[in-house]
Amino acid sequence: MEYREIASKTYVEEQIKANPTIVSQKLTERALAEHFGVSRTTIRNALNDLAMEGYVFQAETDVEQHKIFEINMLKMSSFSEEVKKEDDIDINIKVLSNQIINMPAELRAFFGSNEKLIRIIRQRILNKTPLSYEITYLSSNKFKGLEQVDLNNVSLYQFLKEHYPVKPSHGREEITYELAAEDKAKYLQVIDGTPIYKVSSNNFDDNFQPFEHTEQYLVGNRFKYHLSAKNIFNYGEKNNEIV
Amino acid sequence: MKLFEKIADHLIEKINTGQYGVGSELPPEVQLQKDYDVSRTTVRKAIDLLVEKNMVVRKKGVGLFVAPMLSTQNILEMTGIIKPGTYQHHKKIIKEAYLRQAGLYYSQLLKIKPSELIYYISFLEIAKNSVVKEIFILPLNHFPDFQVSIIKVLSALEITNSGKKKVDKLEQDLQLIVANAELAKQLRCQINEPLFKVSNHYFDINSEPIAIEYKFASNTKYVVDFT
Repeated sequence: MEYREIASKTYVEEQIKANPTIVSQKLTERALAEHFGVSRTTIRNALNDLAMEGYVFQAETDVEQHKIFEINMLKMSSFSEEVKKEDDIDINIKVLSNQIINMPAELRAFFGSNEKLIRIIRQRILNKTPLSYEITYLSSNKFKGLEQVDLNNVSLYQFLKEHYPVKPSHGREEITYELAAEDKAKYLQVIDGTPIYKVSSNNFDDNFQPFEHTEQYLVGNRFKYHLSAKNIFNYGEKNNEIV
Repeated sequence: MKLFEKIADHLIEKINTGQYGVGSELPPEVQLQKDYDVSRTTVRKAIDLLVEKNMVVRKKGVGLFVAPMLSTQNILEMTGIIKPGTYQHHKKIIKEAYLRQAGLYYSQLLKIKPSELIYYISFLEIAKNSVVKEIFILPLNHFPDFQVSIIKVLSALEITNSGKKKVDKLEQDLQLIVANAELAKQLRCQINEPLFKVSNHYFDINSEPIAIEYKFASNTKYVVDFT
């Protein structure tokens, strides 16, 4: 196989990825160009491509507002609940509505019935900036009275665990993206057309009964999902490990 | 036992003893015909038998390969990993395959020296309604016998497992990014259009890095099954 030298733009990108603070140290394109011994155009193109790939270079003063959240999906739980796990950050959960609704046609197949559902619409907010907008549907038979509970700043999964006998057992998360519009753009406070994650999750209890469906929208450039799997070639055994 | 069965048995032995490793290319049928000094039909029948036993895959116009151990179905059934929502029949087109120095960034990720060589392989997976770009970063030292042709038959897990170290751990990241000019062109989308970037970092049982894989995909649904 042929050998190739690393192209200068690739070289700059990799140097910056390995040592991102260089950007704030050097501050200007000219200083970076001198430092790496390349042209300013190369620096500009490299920084531009890195930004498109989600690398954020901002002034130190505004770190909190630009923090990228890593959501760890190792254990099953609605991953919205994972966001708050970093204890130095203060994320508020605001309930926009919590009410009983008729079974929406598109959820009938999942819940396998025509029962009424509890629909909870929530926002997660960091320093007045929304991070997520989420709509959770729960079986009204399994979670009686939940629609009367004040769930502001309450971890929903924690609350369900403490107050109802339902044991979450397994589920599936589907991750897609879309461009923010209407209620999503409004509650995420982003302009129409901003890329956002859409995460749909279907969760089942230990009797294989469906109990929850959530649609969660997250601001695209604020989140990164992380997953870690061990013993990957013997995934049967791996499952035992998690239990 | 018929002659073609004997040849099939002999080939099976070579596969089972690892003489032909998973994903490696078998000699072309014409060569086998010469090696065993038999007719084309006999070789064909022997290979048919191996294909039937799921031990060999015939790739049209490419050649014969020792079949992967993991089927696509296995992978789609795995829990706890980020995986595509559905399997789409696709064609792989290799765009770049070369050796380069690891450089600072990959040397940190792969725990090797910046001057060590790595394979840089990029290819497109083209399906009916989607294009996925994949990049593999494989250190030469871990993959001394690497053949680019295995890219066409093996899953990512098996490619990364084909070297000296065996894969045990997978760390995955999923990010929403936007297409730059190069990605837009390759993935047939607009510049600034959103894309998923999946980064897979493979490690052995001692958490030593083995390889890195990146995927860039538009129009794709990823799923994670939990137990």
